[in-house]
Order: sequence, then structure tokens, then C-alpha cells
Amino acid sequence: MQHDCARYRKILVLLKWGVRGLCRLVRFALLMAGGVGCILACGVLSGQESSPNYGDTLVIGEIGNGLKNLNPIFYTLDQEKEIADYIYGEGLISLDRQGTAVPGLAESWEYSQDRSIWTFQLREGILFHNNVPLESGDVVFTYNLYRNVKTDSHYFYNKNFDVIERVIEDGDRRVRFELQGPYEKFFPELATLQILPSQIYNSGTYEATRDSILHSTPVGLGPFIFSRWEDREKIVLRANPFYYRGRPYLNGLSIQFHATEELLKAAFVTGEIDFARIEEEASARDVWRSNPRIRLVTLVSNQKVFECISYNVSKKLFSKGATRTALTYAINRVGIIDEVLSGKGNIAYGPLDSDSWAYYPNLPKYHFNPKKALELLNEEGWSDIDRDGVLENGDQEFRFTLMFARGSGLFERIARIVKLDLKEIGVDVIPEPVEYKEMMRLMKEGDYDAALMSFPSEAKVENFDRLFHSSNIGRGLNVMYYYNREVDRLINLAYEVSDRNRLEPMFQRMQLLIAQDQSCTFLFFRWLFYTAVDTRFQNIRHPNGGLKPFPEWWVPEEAQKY
Amino acid sequence: MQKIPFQNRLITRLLVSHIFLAAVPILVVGWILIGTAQRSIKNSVAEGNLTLAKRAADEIGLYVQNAQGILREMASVPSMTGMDRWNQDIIINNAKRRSDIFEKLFVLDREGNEVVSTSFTQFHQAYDTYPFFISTLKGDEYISPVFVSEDRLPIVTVSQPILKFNSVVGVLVADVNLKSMWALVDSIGLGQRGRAYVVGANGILIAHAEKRRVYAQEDFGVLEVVKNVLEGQEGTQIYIDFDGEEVIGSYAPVPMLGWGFIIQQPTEEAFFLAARMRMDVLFLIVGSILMASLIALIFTRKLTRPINTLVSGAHLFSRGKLEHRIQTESNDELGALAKEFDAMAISLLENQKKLRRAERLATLSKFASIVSHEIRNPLNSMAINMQILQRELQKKGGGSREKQEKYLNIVASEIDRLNTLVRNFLLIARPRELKLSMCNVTSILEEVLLSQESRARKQNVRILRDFHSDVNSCRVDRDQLKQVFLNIVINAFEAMPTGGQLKVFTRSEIDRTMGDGVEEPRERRCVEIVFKDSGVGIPKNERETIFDFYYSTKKGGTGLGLAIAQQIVEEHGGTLFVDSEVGRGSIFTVTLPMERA
Repeated sequence: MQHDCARYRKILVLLKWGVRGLCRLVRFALLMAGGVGCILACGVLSGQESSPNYGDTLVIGEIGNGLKNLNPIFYTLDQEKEIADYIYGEGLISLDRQGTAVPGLAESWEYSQDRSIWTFQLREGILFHNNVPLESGDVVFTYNLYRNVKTDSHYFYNKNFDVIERVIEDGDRRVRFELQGPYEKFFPELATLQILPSQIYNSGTYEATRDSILHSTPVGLGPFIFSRWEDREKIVLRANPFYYRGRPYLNGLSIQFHATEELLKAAFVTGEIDFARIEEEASARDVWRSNPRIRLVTLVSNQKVFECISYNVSKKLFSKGATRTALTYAINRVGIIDEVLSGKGNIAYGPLDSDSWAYYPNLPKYHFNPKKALELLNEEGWSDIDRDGVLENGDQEFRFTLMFARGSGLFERIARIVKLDLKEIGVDVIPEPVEYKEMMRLMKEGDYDAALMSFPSEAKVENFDRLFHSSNIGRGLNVMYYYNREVDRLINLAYEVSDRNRLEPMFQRMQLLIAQDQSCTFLFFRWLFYTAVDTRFQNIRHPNGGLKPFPEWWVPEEAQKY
Repeated sequence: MQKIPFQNRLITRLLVSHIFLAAVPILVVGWILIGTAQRSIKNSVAEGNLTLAKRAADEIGLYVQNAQGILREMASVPSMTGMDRWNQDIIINNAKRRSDIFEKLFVLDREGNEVVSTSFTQFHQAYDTYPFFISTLKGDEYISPVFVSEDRLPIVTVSQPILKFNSVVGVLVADVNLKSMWALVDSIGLGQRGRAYVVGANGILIAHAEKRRVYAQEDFGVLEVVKNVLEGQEGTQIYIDFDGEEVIGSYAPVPMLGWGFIIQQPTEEAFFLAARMRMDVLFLIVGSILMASLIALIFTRKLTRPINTLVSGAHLFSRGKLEHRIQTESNDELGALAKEFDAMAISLLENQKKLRRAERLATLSKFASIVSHEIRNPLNSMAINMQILQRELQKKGGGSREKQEKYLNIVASEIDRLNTLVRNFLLIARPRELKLSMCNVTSILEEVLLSQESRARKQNVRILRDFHSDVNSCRVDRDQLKQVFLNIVINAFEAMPTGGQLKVFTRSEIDRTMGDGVEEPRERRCVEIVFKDSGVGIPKNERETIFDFYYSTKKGGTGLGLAIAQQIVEEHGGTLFVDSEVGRGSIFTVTLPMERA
């Protein structure tokens, strides 16, 4: 009897399991069916969305309003370069992601065996924005202009135009470049430059555009046509209907300038702008949270940037390396990274981060040590004799202005921390927000004490040249007025070398020398960049160099706003 | 059975009254329930929201008070009271660095000149005419109205006197950024779509879930709730907001600042519970009424079924089916009534039997007298003629042969007459069994009319025929039906001694029998044969007796012709009707079923 009972119980349990299993199976099947349905529906939906249509305008928000020039030879700001790129478009060729040359204005090219003579065949029917067709004469004019014009644009200074012996027209829509000898960087450096309309300028009139875009309307070959410049706060571009790669889907671009990041954020929240780069993660999240129509894109850039305090070593205050090193000791870089980047950055000890192939691990680190800083300064003769908090050396007080780009919340916060850190050792820092364009001018002229800057971090000779070679004092980006004969020599030498094994010790030596000299206090590296875009824009890609409004962007008809 | 209209039927009336009785109390109770519940839910929502609004308003007040507290503490630090620029700079910059709520901090000396400031952009300026400076210089703490900064952010200026030995040596001022308060306001949730917002003393938005509205500095001052809250009132009211949606808004003033805090929620969401309850109760009401109706239906059916049985039984009784018994299971009054009906039917049946026996006896005696009378006449005539014949035969020479033949003929004809009489008697007394076969009614009719052709001519009667093509074969006894038609036609001829017109026509009909609860309703196809003469007609009082046996108005008539005709037709399952008008003629209509069951 008991056996029977046990057996029944067993059967019951088995039955229960069976029923439960069946239920689960049914539930699973339903879920799967639902899932498949959803996927199908999504497929159908996305299928419907995939046909782009024309219309609408993208309003880009920028900080600052120091724009002066959109002409390719004279622009000095990233903002100017970006707008100029829309207007002037590609050069004879352009480079794809892998750095391979693809046809641009030229549909084909050929070169002599020793690569000293290059012939480009231009596409037919390309029109400038004033409807004048592109001729080989325009190319010849442009390159001659490039060879002769004097510019302080750091985008231009290290392009080796001397290598070009002459540029001549070689028949219908054909241009021949005769070089002095083989030049490895002919493609990436020279063949990608933007072409200017020869019938608008001659060398003399082009010089006149140096100071302001107001002097002439930029005329190019790019996807967007310059339309107007409103109250120095807004640049309006409209789509080029005859763009040789096809008219952009958007009707136009409008670039609006805002005095501060706070105003930019406000404009985004109120829907006045559709696209903006935001420096700080917290700000980006703030914007994203406050407007549901915003898509936040976080880009992990493969090109890092380092922030630093560059000192004007030509000033007496910063002329001694020990003084500058003392300042580095006094600044809590870990604190800055934690406070302004939420820890998402690395301390910088030199211009290259530890993941670079040329990184030198044995650089002097100058870890945060206010006591050591004070000792160093005391050795240099700085002490607070009158007990007013500020160090004195003779009749000079240790006080300097720290420039930073106006409107940037990130730099303002760094400046405040630096000010407070240095106050601890008796150095009085006066942060001074300056319009970026003006700041660049002041720095090139050597008319400043110190500045918060950010530079690309890459083991390229050009980068080191631009920043640290004494020949670039007053031009290029050697705004520190830094001079080290050995660094100069190493840079010159490195230009001749292409083998990484031979380059590595050179870069390592340069890093060591630069770190020892401390012409700037390296603060940190960062690689996360935040871009906010209105969700109505489709086909947003991340091409090299970050998220940029490209002609491929489009807006579904029902979502169009302008 | 008489058909009763639906609305007059007992079941309908009972049903209506039952449902009415059930529904009215349910509806009344439901209505009261809904009303009470709605009111209590609305009140509790309103109260809950108001409590939330008051708490939130207090918290927002604390936000500024907190800033004020920090400022008060900073102002009491010795290096601040010592008006040491270097240290003041460190203190205010650290405060700005540590806390998002301060947009800008600065210190003024007694003359209103800026000593230190956290702002890197603004140049030192004099504030000696500013109300916050004048007020704070007297030693009072000060909170300014809300204003919007160059960065489009709502700001209040809070200032604090820096006291040294109870005298004001400077003023510590902070622009408190209300943006940091937004997160606080956002965190005050109410359901899915509830929204909180704060308005400044001028009605301009300071904080709102939709930030663009704050940046756009929308003026909410026109809303009645905002007006109320800025007057220092608190409460809850329902209104239409800027998006055109009906919302319930609770509002409370923010203490000391003159601002208003409002939390609003779409009524649809706020009163969701009430709406759901209303739906539930409505369902319950409808369900209860349906249930009550169902019960009423079952109950009334149970009640009316025996009544219907009674009615149909009574109907059958009235139609003479006294063998029927009303069988009912109910043992109530209706059951008793049914039993009484059955008893009545039994006694009626008995009486009927008695009556029929008496009737038969009467008929028999009448029959006997008629028979004796009818037979006596020819017998008398025969006796007389036989006597004359006898006398003639006894004459010498055998008498006149002519005369003998004459008397013999008379006797023979009287025997004939007797024979006919006997045959007819037999027909009535022992009706022949029907020999049914499929026969064409029209051909029978034609045959009869043809046989009477000569008489018609003689009597100057025109015979008109109109036979319908639809009229076809019927299952009838051909000979007997022929007899029927012949009898009717002869009767017609006799009605037109001086000539006239006999119209004979046939048509097919559909005879409908309505159901009466006992018999199923049915339809059957019939043949109608109409004989219309233009004879003398039959007076109204005689119309009912012409089909009686031995009724005759004619000399020499036996009074059996029409009676026999009717008997035969009825045996066929048909009917024989007469319609007549004296002086104009008569119409005899024979109706025969096409198919016999």
C-alpha cells in the first residue's frame, strides 16, 4: 500500500514537471514567435526608412565667434577649416580611411618611373559655385599661389612646396607637376589641397582676403555654397546642386556661434541647434537628458589629445626650467582628471601616451608634491617675505595670467583648479578667458604668460616639429617659444628617416628632453569626445576624425524641420 | 386558437416587471456607489498631491536656504572676516569648485567695490547702489528676485554680511544657479506623466521637466493656479494647461522666496483608479441586470408553461378533441385547474356520447317515417295499377293489350323508383368505401358536363367552362366524385327551370392552417371547383339546411343529392360550401386537397 502511495506521488511529481515543462515550452515558443515578429517588423520598418530624401537644414552649434577667414590658406581654426572644407571640398585626390588615394577632382593620374613627374586628368563638367567650369589653369594658379603666399596658418606651414619645380597645363583638363625629385608625401600633403578659382583672384587680391571673410565671398567646388554671414553669429551655407558627387540631401547648413558652452547647451535644449560637440561628459549627459530628441554619440578617438599649460619661456618669469618644473610639481593632475573628466583620462608626462609605439617610459614624472615645488622655488629665490601670500623674488611677485579659450567649461574648471593649486604654494594665477582666435594671435606674438592648450598627441615628426622646433616660434604652434638645439636637430634628422626602429630612440630622446625642459606642464590625455545630434538625421557615420555633418546625412520628409 | 400579441403575453409582462424590479435597486445602489467612490478618490488624489506639493515647495525653499547657509558659514570664517583678499579668493573659488549651485561668488568691501570674484571674465565693478548691497550693509541677509543670466540660466543673488565685532566689514555675494535645482524638481515624480514646475515671483518658469520652456523663459503667470500660488495660497484645482490637456494641479508657495511650486498631472492619469472603478461598477451593474433577467426568464417560463399547456388543452377541448388530457406536473392551483379541465372534458365526452345516441335514434325514427312514406307511395301506386291490370286481364278477350302494357310500365317505373330509393338509402346508411386513384379532376368534370349537354339545350342553359391549367390529378374516387359533380349540376339545372347560365371553373389554391400550439402550422395545395349558376338562389334561412338529408324544396326531390355530395367531399378531406343570393343565383365551391395525407 505504501509502495503504491509512493508510486502515485512519483507519477504526480512527474506529471507536474511535465505540465510545467510544457508551459515553459509554450511560453518560450510564444516569446520566440514574438521576437521573430519584432525582428521582421523592424526589418520592414528599417527597410522603409532606407530611402533618403532631400530637404531640411542642419544647424550646427559652435562655441566662440572669432571666425575671420574661410580661405584655405589663411584659416587658423578648426572651426574655420571645417566650414572651408564644406565650401572648397576635395583636392585633386582624397584619401580614404586606409590612407589610399581615391579620385577627387582628378579622375585619373599617372607618374614617371622616378615619381618626379605627375600628371592629373581632371573630371569633366566640374563647376565652381559661380558656375564657371574648373580648368587646368585653376590648378596651376592655385599651386603657384600656395608656393608663393606667406601665411601663418599652422595648417599650411610645413607643407613642402619647395619640392615643386613647376606646375604646367598639359592639354585639356590635364595638369603636370614637375618635382625636383621623388617626394614621398606628394599625395597626402600636396595633392589633397583645395583648388581656388583663378578668375576671381590673382595673387594680389587673394592676399586681401587674409584678414576677413567679409572681403570676399568664398567660391569653391565643395558640396555647400557660402550663402551669408549673419551678424557675426551665424554662417549659412546652401546645398550645391551641381556638386560633382551629387547634390547633398540637406538643403543647407547653418553654423551658429555661442559665447559659452552653457549657451550652446541651452540652444540645444530649446531645439535651436541640431548638432554640437560637447567637451565634458557631464554636460553632454545634461543636454541629452533635457531633450528627448537628442542622440548622444560618444566617440572614442584613435587620435588622442593632450592638454597642457604652455609657458611663454621668453618671459623672464618662466625662463628657468626649475621654475616651470616647480609649477608642475604643485599641480594635482590626478585631481584634475578625477574632477573634470570623471577619471576618464591619463596623466600626461610628455607629448605621447603610454600606448604609443614611441613612448618613453622613463620620463621624469614630477608627481604632485607642493612641498618639493616650494623648495625648488625657494632655491630659485622665491619666498613670501611680506606675508601677503604671494611669493616674491626681489621686487617681482610670482603672478601670471593663464589664458584659456573663452566659453569652454572644461578649461574654466581646469583653470580654477590650477589657480587654487598654485595659490597653495604662493603663486597667484589670474585665469583669463580669451577668444580662441585672439588667444592664438597673442601666443604667436609671444604676448602672454601661460595658456591652457590642447594639442594632438601622435608620434609624427610633423607634430613634434610644429610644437617644439624653434623654427616654428612665432608661426606654427611653438607658442612656448621653446628652443632646444638637440630637439631641433633630432626633428630635422627624423624627417629623413622612415624606419620606426630608427625613429623610436629619436622620439624617446626628444620626449625626455621636452619633459626635462617642462616648457609646458603636461596635464592629461583624453580620447573621449561627445557629440549631440538631433535624432531626425539619418545615415550618421563616424568617418575619420570624428562625427561631422556629411553630405550623406538626410532627414525623413515627415521629420523635416526647416 | 387566438394569437396573443407579444406585448400582451403573460410571459412578457412578468419578465418586464421582474427585470424592472431587479434593475431599479441595482442601478440606484450602483449610481450612489460610483458617485461616492469618485468623490473620495478625487479628494484623496487632491490631498495627496497637495501634500506632495507642500513638501516639495519646502524642499525647494531649503535649496536656497542651504546656499544661504553655506554663504553664512563662509562669511564667518576668520580669513573672510579679516578681509584678507588672498584667502577670500581661495575660499570662494573652492566653494565654486565644490558646488554647482554657485554660478558666481564675490566679495564686496564697505564701499561696494568688488574685492575678489570667482568670475574670470567680469571686471571689478562697484555695486554700491545695488539693493542687495544696501540691504546687506545694514546687516541683513538678502535674497533677490529670480533673474536670467547671460547664459540663459535662472539665478538668484544671495548676499550675506561679513561681520567683524558685530559691524559689517564686507558683503559676501553669491549668484545661486537654479539649474542645479532642476534635478531636484525632476525627481519629484507623480505617476507616469505628472510634472512639477517652479515659477518665480513674476510667473516666469524657473524649473520645469521640459528644459526648453525654462530656457525660453515661458511666462506661466496667466494660469490661474500660478496666480493663486503667487498670492501665497495653496490648494488643488483642475484646469487646462498650455498643451490643451485637462490636468489636476496642486500648488504651494515656496517659503520666503515668493516663488510657487506646482505639480500637475493629467486628470486621465490621476483619476485612472476612479475611471477603472466606474467601469468595474458599470460592468457589475450590467452583469447583475443580465443575471436577474436570466433568472426572471427561467422563473416566468416555469410559471407560464403550465398556463400555456392549459390554454392549448382548453383550445383542443373547444375544438372537440375531448379525448385530450392536459398533463401537467405542477401541483399548485394551476395543476388543480388542469385536473378540473380534464374532468370537465371527460364529463363532456360522456354527454356527447349520450347526445349522439339520442340523435341517432331521432334520425332513425325520422328515417323510418321517410322510408315508410317514400315506399308507401310507389307501393300504393303499384297496388292500384296491379289491381287495374288484374281487372283488365280478367276482362274478356284478355282486355286491351295497350292498357295492360301501360299499367305494367307504371309498375315497372315504380319498381325502378323504389330501387333508386333503396340504393340511395344504402349510400347514406352504408357509405361505400373510397376507391382512390389518381384522376384528372378536369376530365371528370368534363365528362359530367358532357352528359348533361342535351338537358342543357332542352332547358336553355348555357354552360361556361374555365378550367385552370394548374389543376391536375388528385387522388380521388372517380365514380363518387362524378356523383358529387352530377348532383351539384343537376341541382343547378333544377334551379334554372327557365334557362340561364352555369359557369364552372377550377383553380388551385394553397390552404394555410395556422398552428395553435397543438397542431403544427401547415400548408397544403388544394383544388377548387366552383359551380356558379344564375338560378333562383337559396334564401338565407335555407342555406344551412340544404345539405341535410331529406331536405328538398322540389317536388319529387329525395332531399339526398346535396347531402350525399357533401358526405363524399368530406370523406375526401375536402369541403363543400354554398354562397347564394335570392334571385341572382348560387355558388357551390368544392375544395379538394391535391395530395391526401
